[in-house]
Amino acid sequence: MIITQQQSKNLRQYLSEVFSYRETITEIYDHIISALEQYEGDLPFQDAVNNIIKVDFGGQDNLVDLEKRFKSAASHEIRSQIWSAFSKNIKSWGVLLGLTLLIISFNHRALFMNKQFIFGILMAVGFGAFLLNGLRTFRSGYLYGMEKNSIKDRILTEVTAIPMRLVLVIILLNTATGSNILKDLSPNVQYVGTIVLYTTVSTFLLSYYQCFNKEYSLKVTDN
Amino acid sequence: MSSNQLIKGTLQTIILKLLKDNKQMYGYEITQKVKGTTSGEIMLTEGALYPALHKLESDGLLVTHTEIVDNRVRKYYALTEKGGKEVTSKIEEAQNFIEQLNLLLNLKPGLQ
Repeated sequence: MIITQQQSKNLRQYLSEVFSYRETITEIYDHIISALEQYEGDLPFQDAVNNIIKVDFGGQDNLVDLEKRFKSAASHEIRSQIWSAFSKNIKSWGVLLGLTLLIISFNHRALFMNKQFIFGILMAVGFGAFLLNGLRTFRSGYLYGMEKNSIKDRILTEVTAIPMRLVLVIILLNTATGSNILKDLSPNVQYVGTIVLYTTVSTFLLSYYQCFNKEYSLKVTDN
Repeated sequence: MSSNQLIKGTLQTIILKLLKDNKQMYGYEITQKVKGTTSGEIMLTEGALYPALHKLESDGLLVTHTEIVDNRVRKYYALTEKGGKEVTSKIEEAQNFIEQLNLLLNLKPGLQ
């Protein structure tokens, strides 16, 4: 069957009404269009689409269920991807960064443990997370040219909030109670703790970037 | 046409085997390959394919990438290294099961 631009647009519009997320729309749209292109029967466009949805997907209700299951699988996948990248990075890049920071800063521990300095670094981390989030949103929107949200965008946005929670913890530690807790720790423990914190947060942001960068890499193929 | 209930248990094995043989495939292509190879006897219908693909992806057995083909986004699935190892054991498991099923249902004479 030859599909006109208007029919293609109508199908996409229909799928946008059925689905909430970009991934399911693009995947099911590609499936239906591919099936229509191969279709050689006499059914008009709309009936052919309904037939494909009924036979290949078990009807419209199943489409909604399919998206729910996809969301659940995607959430699990993204978290395990980031965790896997983080584990891998912390063993190579993380150790290297941590050791470098230790060597560079050991003779300047007082400066390093300065509250303003720590806040400055953590604010930079927060800003870095904010920038990466913006870059990801821009790239995903730019590449796909769709207004619908992405399942992965939503999950990744939640993931970026993790370092921000860490910043929040540090701010809480800056209160009187928090300061009392910190006083009980020796300066050396505080110093090593700070190095570990910088290393962990930087490694996390690197892993996050690697994951979404890979996710949104696209290749254009003209058949 | 074969019962969907029978296919469900082996769907992941079928997908993994196809991807082992074809390097990368997209959803519709998989349905057509199954249909073509079995002369239409087995058809992946009622939306069973995509949840299985997404599950395999979330388990780290498949990796995906997208390409723009004919002005639309197409999602390709391929085996990961872990998936490549898993496919061999899945096939052995399926073959073993089929042999046991043959014995139980007396579909062919026993070897002993």
